[in-house]
Amino acid sequence: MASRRKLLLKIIILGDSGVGKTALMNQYVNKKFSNQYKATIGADFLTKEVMVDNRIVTLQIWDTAGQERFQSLGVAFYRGADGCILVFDTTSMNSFASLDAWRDEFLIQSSPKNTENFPFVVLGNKIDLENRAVSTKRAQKWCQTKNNIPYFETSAKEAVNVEQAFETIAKSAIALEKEEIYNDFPGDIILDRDNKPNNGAACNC
Amino acid sequence: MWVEPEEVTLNAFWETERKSLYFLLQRRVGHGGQADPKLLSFWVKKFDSITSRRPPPFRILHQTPSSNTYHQISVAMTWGEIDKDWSHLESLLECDSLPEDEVTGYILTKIKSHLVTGPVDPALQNINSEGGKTSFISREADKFRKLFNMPPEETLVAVYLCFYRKKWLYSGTMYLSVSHLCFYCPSHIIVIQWRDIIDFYKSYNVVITIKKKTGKKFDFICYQRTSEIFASIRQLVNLAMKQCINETSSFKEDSDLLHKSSINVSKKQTFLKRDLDARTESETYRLLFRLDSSEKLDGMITACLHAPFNRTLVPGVLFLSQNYLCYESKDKGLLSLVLPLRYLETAEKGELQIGGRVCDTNVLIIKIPKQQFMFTNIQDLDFLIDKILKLSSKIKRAKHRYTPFPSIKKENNSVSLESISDLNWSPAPALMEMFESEKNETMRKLEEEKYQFWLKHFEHYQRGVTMYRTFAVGKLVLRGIPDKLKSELWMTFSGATNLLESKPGYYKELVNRSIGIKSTTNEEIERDLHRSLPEHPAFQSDVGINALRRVLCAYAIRNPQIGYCQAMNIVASVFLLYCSEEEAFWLLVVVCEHLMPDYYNKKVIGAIIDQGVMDCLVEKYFPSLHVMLEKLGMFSLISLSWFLTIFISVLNFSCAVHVVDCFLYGGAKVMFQIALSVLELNKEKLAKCEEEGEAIQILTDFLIGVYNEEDPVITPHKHRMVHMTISIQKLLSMAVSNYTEINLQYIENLRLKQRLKVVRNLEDSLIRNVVRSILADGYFKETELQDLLQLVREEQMNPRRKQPPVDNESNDIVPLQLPYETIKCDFELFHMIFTIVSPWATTESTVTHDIAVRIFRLMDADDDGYLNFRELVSCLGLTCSASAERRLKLLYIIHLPPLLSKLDIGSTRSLFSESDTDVASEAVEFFNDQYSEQKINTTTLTTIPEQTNNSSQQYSSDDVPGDVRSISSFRSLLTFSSQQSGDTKPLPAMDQIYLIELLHTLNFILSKQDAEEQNSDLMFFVSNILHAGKKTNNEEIESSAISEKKNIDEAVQDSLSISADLFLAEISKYASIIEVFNERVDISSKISKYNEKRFRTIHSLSNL
Repeated sequence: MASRRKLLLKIIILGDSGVGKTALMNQYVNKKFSNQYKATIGADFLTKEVMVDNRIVTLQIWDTAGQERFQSLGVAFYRGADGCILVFDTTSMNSFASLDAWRDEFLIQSSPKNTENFPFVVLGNKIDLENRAVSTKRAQKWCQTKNNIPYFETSAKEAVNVEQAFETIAKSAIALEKEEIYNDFPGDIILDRDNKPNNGAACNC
Repeated sequence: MWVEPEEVTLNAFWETERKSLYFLLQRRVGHGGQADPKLLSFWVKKFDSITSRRPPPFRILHQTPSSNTYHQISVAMTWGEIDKDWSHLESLLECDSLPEDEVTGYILTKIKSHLVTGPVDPALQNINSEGGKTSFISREADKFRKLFNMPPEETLVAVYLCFYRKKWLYSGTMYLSVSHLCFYCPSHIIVIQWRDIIDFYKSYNVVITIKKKTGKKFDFICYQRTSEIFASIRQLVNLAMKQCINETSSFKEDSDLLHKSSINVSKKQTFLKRDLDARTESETYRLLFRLDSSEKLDGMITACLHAPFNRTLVPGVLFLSQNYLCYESKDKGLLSLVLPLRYLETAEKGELQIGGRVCDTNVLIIKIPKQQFMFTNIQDLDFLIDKILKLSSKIKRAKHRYTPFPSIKKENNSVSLESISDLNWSPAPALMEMFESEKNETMRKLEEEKYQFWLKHFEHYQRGVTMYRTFAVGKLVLRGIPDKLKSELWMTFSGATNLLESKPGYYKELVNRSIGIKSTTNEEIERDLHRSLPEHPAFQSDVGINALRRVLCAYAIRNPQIGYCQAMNIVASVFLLYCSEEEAFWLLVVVCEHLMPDYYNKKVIGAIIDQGVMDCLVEKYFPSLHVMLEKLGMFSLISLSWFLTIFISVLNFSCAVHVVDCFLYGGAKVMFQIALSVLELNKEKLAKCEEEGEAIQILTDFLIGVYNEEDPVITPHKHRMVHMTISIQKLLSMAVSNYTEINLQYIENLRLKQRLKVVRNLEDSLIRNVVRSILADGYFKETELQDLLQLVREEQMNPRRKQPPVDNESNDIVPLQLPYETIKCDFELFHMIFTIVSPWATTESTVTHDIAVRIFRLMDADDDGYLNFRELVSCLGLTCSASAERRLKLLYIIHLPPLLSKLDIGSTRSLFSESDTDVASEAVEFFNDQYSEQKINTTTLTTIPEQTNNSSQQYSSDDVPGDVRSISSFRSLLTFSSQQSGDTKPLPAMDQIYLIELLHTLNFILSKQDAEEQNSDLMFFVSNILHAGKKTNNEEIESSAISEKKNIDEAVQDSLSISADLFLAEISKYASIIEVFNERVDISSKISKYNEKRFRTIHSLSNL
């Protein structure tokens, strides 16, 4: 039922200023890297159509301003988000330490139905740089404590892991979407009972 | 003459002269009527003389509709007088259509109001001129404080008589003070904080409605001086909102206000009120002429300016302030002038000749180098000249007039070699001169053409700050300012020249101070230097980057309220392209502080306010579009990047610069005009959108497609397709001509209204976020936390309180703060709240104070003298809502060293005199295996409340390391006791002296309960615990003495000691005590009780 409709997923990228949010978005959507971006003011977005689980999905990726004072303006951008990408800079301890606040703030502001299982993914960006400050172990540990958020180490510059990270968030956003559809129309479950085992993997409709 | 309404009966003594629906005008028989029956007249006269009543011969009665009840409301000796009252009544009912059954109430209260307003008015006027100290005002102020239980710092601004409407009208007094609106009548007492108001408006000319954040509305009916009352309310609300925005500056602003008022007391009008009026006037004046925020208007006078360019006299107003003489034509926008007094050569009386003929001999002639200005038709010319000369003699003369005319000489390009921390920096010239953009032949020609236009304009209207500013300038600006003149004209129009000239050397000093500072702000700036205008070659080189760094860092030092906000980098880099470094700095100052007030501060409030303004404007101009955009939640999305960067980040460069031309000339209104035009042009497309992304896409595509007619090459966008849409010239002229009503004052009015909403929303969302972020700690319910936070916030705003220091200068680079970390509470405030809320506290008791000190220190994790909100909640939670076991543990801990030191005990009851080290050692040893001989610095503990800052430094400098560690272990024992109780070490044992203190406190807490059972239980407990302590202790001492080869005698001195477990086990045997500690305290009710008490009133006015 839902699959026939064109699926639009809103993904928000959050993280401190200068961790590479805009660069990651552009690397993913346009396959380009430039170190000549203006600081993002307010928010900007790009869209990309992708195939996930045999379905065409439009990802609407929102790039936000990272400076702390813009955080309170997030409400407008967070509205109706289907997934959230948290980015830190592997060469900056502070940007990693801020993840907690970004995640909390996002959950408070967007108040999604399902706080526990809301799709997040954490990206440690700029692994192409030498002066690393946050170890993989440490980042992984943090992700584990937050309900096992998938963690990727990326380089927007060298296109490392970018594709995978966005695919992951798209998949988990779709998974949640499905779950919610069933939650919204409990009657449907009975009709679909025979198909139910397949639903998790692929859509038969 | 109005009289106290009095019920009367109709009788034959009175002849009805006029009659209307509700009123009768009557004449007493025998007074002037020709047709009166003779006999009756005689009798009435006789009767009147016998009773010596002699009522006035005319009266007006009010008839209650459909009844025979009449009230006499006015009497008069003459026909003229009564006729006046009659027509007043008629006009009164014209404007108000009331249901019949309310008419009588309405009219009677209204008459009463006329009665009361009468005598008060002259009183208000006379008071200050009489100069008496116990004036009416100070009496009223006294009354105000008593009636509403206001602290003495709460300054009264004005008092008015009015009515409160609530079903019925209640006549009473309205008191306006710096932070409250209060109303008193015997049956109603209303206290409203300005900060709590979300809306206020005037209707039917006399009704002022105040809407509180709770949604509750209050209607006040003011028949007299309505607009004055409304204006006062407006000023005070605005002031309160501005204080909320700049939380830290509130104190400064307040004292300024109070100080000024004391100077003005001797003047005629009411004290503070006059001052506020002056403020408002000065603000309008400054906005109008783009003057510095310290400029205060001295006076205004009408005058005609002689306009030499067309030889006419233009009527207008002269404004005089400390540093400027300004002029604006009556016909707004036609002609204006700014004359800085620092240029002044002479101001004298002279004559004006037009065409060789003397027109006027009473002319003010102002001479500045190379220019003179003539004003005629000035009333008090000699006085004015005197005043001008007096003011100008106080000013430091401009040593040299800043001359932008010769283009800044090209400096050698070697500047680029400097390093970041080099003190020998030299300011960069306009970067365009070094990195000239390529221009083709036609573009160059167009530029030259424009340049010539401007030169011709200067010939007519003069050049520089003192130019005659006319419509013609506006038109030229709209066509665009040629690159060569950009810096000069930007500086002139924006008012930045005035700032620069009045503070020579200031920029250099700031830069020198900023060099080498490592702070969060500077780190943020550093990160964004290459992300400002990366596409421009000037910012791919060190010259541009270093100049940008200096400008931004210098600004951050100038204005710590703002520091650095993203978007400033983009704006500043555009300035740097055309202007010298110092000029760019001052332009940035003008933008951040005058043109876009509060835009870049820590909460970007100005930008949010202007989003609201935009919202109002769209609603006004495109109602249907407004509905749709609102549904998509778009306002916050679009205007942010548009406004914050003055469209620079959304338009292509050559168009954006053109917008900057218009913006610096026309001010903030230009941005709204452009934004509205953009929406107008895309109205149809937008109407079809179903989703926000789509709508934003449309607008983004449109904006990047805007091109410059003179430079038609569009630079391709980084990641979007570009289609040309409209030329910037067309867009701008459309914007300016279609939305002419949007002027400065209009925007300011809308901003004021929005400020109310925004401040309220921010406060609400702050409270919501903070509460949610700590709800999981489980101490209190959501509503309780809200109440508590509300109380903390209110107290923080209280001008009496010291503001927590803003650590802008701190060198620490901190990660993003969690919501609750932003709320800080010093000891004073904590003590107050603890006293209000906690069951362990009573007012004014040293024990409460001691407990509070120790709990405060225990919970202040970062030891900075402030508790964040979460810590505060833990403190209160542990005494109000935690389990008895945890509460008792807390009680035990706060009686252990180092929280409780022997010195403290000694000072209160000098029982023990031994050195403290032994006792402390046990605790320290417990946490720190390498026990050191250092003494615990006990003095610090007692000093916490008095000097939090100093003491916190003291801790860090000479504290025992084990001390801090032990406190933090105590803390984690308490806060995480439920989760980690398994793997923490047990609490150390407690020695006798501390135990006695503990029991003392315990007694204090229980004594609040007034119950026999507990008292007797406590007695038993005390004797048992002492006994048990002795027993276990003796065993321990022996064993430990043996193992450590200590002197047994010495050890036995402190013979009594108990362990935490023993203490808890013993006490839990007494159910009545445990019950006390298990009792859940409802803090909401405690807080509301406190709030009630705060505004408790004395009901009998006679006491005053």
